[in-house]
Amino acid sequence: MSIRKPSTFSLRPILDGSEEIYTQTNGVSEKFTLGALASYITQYADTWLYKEIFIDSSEMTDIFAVPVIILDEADLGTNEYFEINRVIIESKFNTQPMISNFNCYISYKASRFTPLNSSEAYYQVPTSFLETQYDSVLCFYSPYSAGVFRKNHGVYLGIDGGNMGEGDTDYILKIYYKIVN
Amino acid sequence: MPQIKTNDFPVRPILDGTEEVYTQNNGVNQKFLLSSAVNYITSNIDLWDSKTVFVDELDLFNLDTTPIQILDEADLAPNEYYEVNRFVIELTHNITFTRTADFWFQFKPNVSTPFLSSYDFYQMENDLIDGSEDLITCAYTPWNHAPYPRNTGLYLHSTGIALLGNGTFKIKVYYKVSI
Repeated sequence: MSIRKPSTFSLRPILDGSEEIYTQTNGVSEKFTLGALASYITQYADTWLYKEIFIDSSEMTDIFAVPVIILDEADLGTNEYFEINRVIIESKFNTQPMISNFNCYISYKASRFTPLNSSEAYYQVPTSFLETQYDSVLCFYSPYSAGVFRKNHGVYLGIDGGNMGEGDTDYILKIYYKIVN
Repeated sequence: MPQIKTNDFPVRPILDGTEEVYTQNNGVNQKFLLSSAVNYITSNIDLWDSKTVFVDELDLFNLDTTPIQILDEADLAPNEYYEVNRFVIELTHNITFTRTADFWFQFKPNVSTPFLSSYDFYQMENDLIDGSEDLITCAYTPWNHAPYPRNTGLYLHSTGIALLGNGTFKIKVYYKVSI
């Protein structure tokens, strides 16, 4: 069988990281995968994980009694914490606007049923956004005064004071974050 | 001596950029270094460097007269400046601090430049310093920070004699050098 020239190799349709790359450095023949190369390139990059959460109108109505978990403290190792880069919230208005008589916060907390403490509030979702009567989007980076938080705490969407008024608007919350030790 | 098939080559344990990669484009054989490929791949990516500075209570005690250098103006070439993306600050304390001044990050020409509010960039959260537990805060560059000239360094400074207590602040700043 004749040896094929590399330039006549067929094109690999999709890259998945398992591709082997061959090197002969200082006369030593070795190989590495494209996945290892990607890790090498991105090791110093400020990369973020991504999570998307759907919150329907009934979950939003009950949010005072049952805060919505956004980032789970159970996913953290000892002495780890969540650092948030940004949050994007979309509202999907259906038939009836939500009514927000109280303040809605994204907040760091020890667990779902830890009472909401405004000193741990990361961001207050604007009432005008919650009560919107059309589909809208809100995007924000960690604010200048994001408050303080503790290691091994989760991140929750909650409300102080009492229930949201019933409505028919769903929300999609996208969060960019990383786990830090 | 028998030839080894390329897929039988041993795995290189660590990549360090010195690896030679071979290409054959349009019938022309060439090689390049992995570090060149990395530079090419990352040339248009918004990357941030990071630096961690540990500050203890002894450093803080004289903070009003001896600011702590976070980013050194001497590392800048002419006309360069630091762009700061965010601060992540952790406080680990043994004895709760009693704060008697406000803590500010300021861009200043050098360590001897006196504290001036016109240099203010970011005020460290008082809730962080005053807390009775180990706490963390994360803040991105504020929208209302004071303007700063090129070739200035970043310092942590206080408005007066800083505080009493015992503990350590771990300040991590994400930044880049721009021109």
